Amino acid sequence: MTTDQPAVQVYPIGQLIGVRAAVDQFDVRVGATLHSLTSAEFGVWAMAHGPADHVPRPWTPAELAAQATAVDLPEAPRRLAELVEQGLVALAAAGAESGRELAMRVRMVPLVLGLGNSAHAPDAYSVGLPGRPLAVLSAAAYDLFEWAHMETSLWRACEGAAATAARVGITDVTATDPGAVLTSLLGDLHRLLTPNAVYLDTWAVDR
Amino acid sequence: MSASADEPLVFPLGHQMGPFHQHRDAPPSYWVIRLGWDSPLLHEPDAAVVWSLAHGLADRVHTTPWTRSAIRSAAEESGIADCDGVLDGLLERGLVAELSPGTAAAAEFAGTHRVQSLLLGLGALPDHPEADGIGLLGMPPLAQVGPRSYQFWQWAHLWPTLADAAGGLAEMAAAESPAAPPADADATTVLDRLLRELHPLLCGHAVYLDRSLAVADAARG
Repeated sequence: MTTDQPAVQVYPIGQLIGVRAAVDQFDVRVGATLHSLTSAEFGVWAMAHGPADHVPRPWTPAELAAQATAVDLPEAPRRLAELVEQGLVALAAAGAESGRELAMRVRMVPLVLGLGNSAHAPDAYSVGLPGRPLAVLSAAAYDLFEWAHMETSLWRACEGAAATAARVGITDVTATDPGAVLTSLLGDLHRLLTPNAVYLDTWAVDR
Repeated sequence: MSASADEPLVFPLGHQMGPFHQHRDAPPSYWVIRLGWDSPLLHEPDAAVVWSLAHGLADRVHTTPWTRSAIRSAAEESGIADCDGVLDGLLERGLVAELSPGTAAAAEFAGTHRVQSLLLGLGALPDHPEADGIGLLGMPPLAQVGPRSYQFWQWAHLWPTLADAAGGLAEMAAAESPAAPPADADATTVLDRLLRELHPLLCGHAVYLDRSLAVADAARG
């Protein structure tokens, strides 16, 4: 019998705010706390952002471990568990309670600019830096990129987006149900995390 | 024309959200900024260019105070004849601020606005070890700043306002080094300095200015 359980994926939390490679120190800020990681720890945290080959797939602990093995980064499963323990990585499944728990304890914060929509394909929006798009998004996902960090949690942002969709007369439940909005967002979030277009932070979260 | 020493600095407000093309293969209908809970639109291309120029130009902001004169010079090079008129319009809409550090107006601005950091901290640069880089991994840094601006970029966005950030950074300086120069431990001096040193961060898209959440929430329609 097959099950239809959503895959548990790895989600990095925090912003890289300092590198001192000469002394093997990588500083990641989560909220007001600074975590100093070694290059091996940082390597696993960086891998939690998504697949290096940019081929979209559920970014599971097993996928991360396989990528770590491929680049000879030892003990990735142990290091990943330690990062989870420190609050630098979350394990969550889109569409499951763990996804909602994650969304209630973080905010999604942009690291780059909105570049607007494409003249050739007005339904396609991009985010990135001037002349350097990093990800292409739907209008709904672009709205979340623009507004989600103003809310006190990612879950509140999904509630706000769903309420807005309902207010403007959209009847598609995938847009008007906050749980469905979150499921869609978490299912595709590594496409924004991998190029550092956004990050997850615990700062200013009000549950 | 060169800027006079007491000419106010010009700061852009808001997070850039880019052009919006209403119709396929047509020029943008407008440009979008996110400021607080509002998304003001710039319908004129000149307004979008001048708002962008208010962030500074990377090859000038380290040596030129980023004033109306500096923006006018850059705008003229872009073929914009009426930069002052456009800037006045942006000022009226609260999309740029013209401030002289050290004045009551600058203090009021700092009490009602916040900074938000973007990008990643890359640390000291191999070929420029006295500066810290801010950017994305795998590409040249977009901003290269000294240690005080770097610390401002790292932490200031956690405070509700620029004034709170200046106070907090002054306290950090005092705590880190009891023998810190008085300038680093005085909130007013820190605020003046951070305003004077802000454009290298603004033009690299390492930070943007926003309404404080309290002001944004109060203005929410």
